[in-house]
Amino acid sequence: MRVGMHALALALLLGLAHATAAETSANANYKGIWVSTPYPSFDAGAGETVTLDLTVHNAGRPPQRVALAVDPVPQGWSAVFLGEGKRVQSVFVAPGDKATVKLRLEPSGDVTDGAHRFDVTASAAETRFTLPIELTIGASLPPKLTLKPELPALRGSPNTEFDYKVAIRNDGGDDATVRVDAAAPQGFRVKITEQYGSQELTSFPLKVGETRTVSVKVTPPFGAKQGSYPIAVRAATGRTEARTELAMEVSGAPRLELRGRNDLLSAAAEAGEETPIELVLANRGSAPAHAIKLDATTPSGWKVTFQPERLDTLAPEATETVKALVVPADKAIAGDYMLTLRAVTEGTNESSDFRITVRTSTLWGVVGVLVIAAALVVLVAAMLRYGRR
Amino acid sequence: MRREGSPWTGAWTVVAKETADHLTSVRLRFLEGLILLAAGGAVYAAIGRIRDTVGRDPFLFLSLFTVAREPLPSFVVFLGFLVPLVSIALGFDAVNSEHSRRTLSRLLAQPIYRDALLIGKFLAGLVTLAVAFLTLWLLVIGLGLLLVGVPPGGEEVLRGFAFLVVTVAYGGVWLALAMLFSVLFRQQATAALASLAVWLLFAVFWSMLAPLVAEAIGPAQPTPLAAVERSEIQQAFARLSPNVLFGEATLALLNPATRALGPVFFSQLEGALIGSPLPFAESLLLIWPQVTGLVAAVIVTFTIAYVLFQRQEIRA
Repeated sequence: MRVGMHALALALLLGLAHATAAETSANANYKGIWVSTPYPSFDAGAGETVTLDLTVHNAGRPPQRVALAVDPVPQGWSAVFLGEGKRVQSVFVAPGDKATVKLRLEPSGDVTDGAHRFDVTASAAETRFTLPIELTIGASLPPKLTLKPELPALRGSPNTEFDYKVAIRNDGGDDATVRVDAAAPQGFRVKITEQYGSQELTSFPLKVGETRTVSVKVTPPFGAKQGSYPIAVRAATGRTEARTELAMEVSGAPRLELRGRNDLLSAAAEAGEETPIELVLANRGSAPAHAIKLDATTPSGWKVTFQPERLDTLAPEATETVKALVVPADKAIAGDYMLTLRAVTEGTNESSDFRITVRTSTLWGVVGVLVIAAALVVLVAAMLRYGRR
Repeated sequence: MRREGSPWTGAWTVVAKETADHLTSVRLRFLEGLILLAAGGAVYAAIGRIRDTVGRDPFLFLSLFTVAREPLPSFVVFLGFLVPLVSIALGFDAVNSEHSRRTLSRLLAQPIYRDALLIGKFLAGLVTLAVAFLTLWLLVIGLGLLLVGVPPGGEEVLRGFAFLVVTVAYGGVWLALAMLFSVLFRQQATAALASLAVWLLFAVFWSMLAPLVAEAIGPAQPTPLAAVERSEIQQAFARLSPNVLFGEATLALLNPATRALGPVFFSQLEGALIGSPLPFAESLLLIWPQVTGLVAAVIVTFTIAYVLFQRQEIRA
């Protein structure tokens, strides 16, 4: 019995092989009318209208009209044949020729998940051909997006623009419109643009399987502190979303500020006399400043010394009081002079223009008063000598 | 013989009488009319210029005094020219007219010393000048307020007032000089002519004389240092003239950007903010020698006149 089964299987296999070979040779002279479609069974999303391409073939039959129908049409569906945009009921095929027609299957709301079967029948004068089509609802490929940053972590100074390239890929079964946004810490400015271009974008269409690279440009706020900041990039369609995290490492930089006390940028000094000016040196940057040297550009004949001349280190947000001893030239004329005071440290330098109002000595004023007094003394002496006549 | 009592007895009586005489005299009205016309015209022309350039000058009101429009000179230049004339007119016949009217003995028969008479006459002249200039000054300010429509700032008022004081001191110099001549010459015409001659000398010829003097007594080498020295000599000589002192004082007062009146080395200007106004105290300090010079000249000239008058024989 067992042997018999084997023999039968063998015979069937042989028969099949024989049949294939026979078919290939018979194909050329197959006569008849038939309907074909590339994918007779497929998946579709719920509520989705499906359009199939059908081809009606005529091999070795006289030219004739072929009536098309879907029978039976399952509950809740409507099936329409379309030829060049019009509703058609039949096609005409010449021998050895074929005609194409579209079949549109439109579900109403209450179509359930699962397999639906449509039999497309082509009826000609003497023959009838049935093409079974199977449609499965609810099993289509789920929508899916992937985000892939090219370089997920960048490092730079607070005044650089961080430019991340992020590739967005539509791995789902449907074309979609993708919305992109990015969340950054407060104060950070985010701009999402095309990869090569400056136009900012918020959303774009993405076909199935397509990849698009966008550029996420982040600018840290002025004077951002040293540290690592996360940037969350999100791409979303109506039905799905994808996230990725970018790391942004801001390296700090010192930024010095040199001002007078109470932000004054002016002072008065007497010509030839040493006048102390209190200065406030502040580090408004995000990293400590080292080896700060104080320096001044003066008009000729002026002398400016600092106490202290240099500072070893100044932490961010720290301030230090410095004294500048300004000695205007002896010959300086009264009025305003411009003095540039500078604080120089590695990589940064801050200069402030100070307006020094030079006062001249009041000594000559006293001399003038003495001259008048002398004249008065002469007058009084004359009166004492010659008075009361 | 020494006399008793205060030499100033009756001085205020003289001041009051003389001031009243001055203020009602036809001569003064005539001169004031002249000043009013000239200065008023200058200020009106200045306002026309200021209106075209309004808003550019932080010291808009002071430019009322200094801005000139062709063909009229500025208010200050007019004053520098006309103030001596008014002062001379007030003082040239102060004493000699009493002689010629033979009223001096009669006057001194009253309980009034010569001291009181002379100082009374001088103060009366000074008060008259002050009243006249104050009126003119207020007139200019009023005209400015009316036609420019900008109120003057505190510092402008201060500088304007200092300008008024300097003008009165300048007038005082010429008043004292005219009175000196009125003591010196019995003839009023001689005194007037002598005063006018001095006025002409300082107003017109002094500026021509100064370079000649500098060339004559200064170093002759063609080096820059010698040139500086020559210009210093020239300036020192020029400053003997009250007109020059008045001109420099008003320049520094009315143009706050003036920082030096003599020659300035280039090294002194390095880093200087040209055109930034000087504080009032600094401007005052800058012209203090000029102001004290004027005041001292008033006192010294008056002292000479006083000594001469006291020693004069008046019973002729």
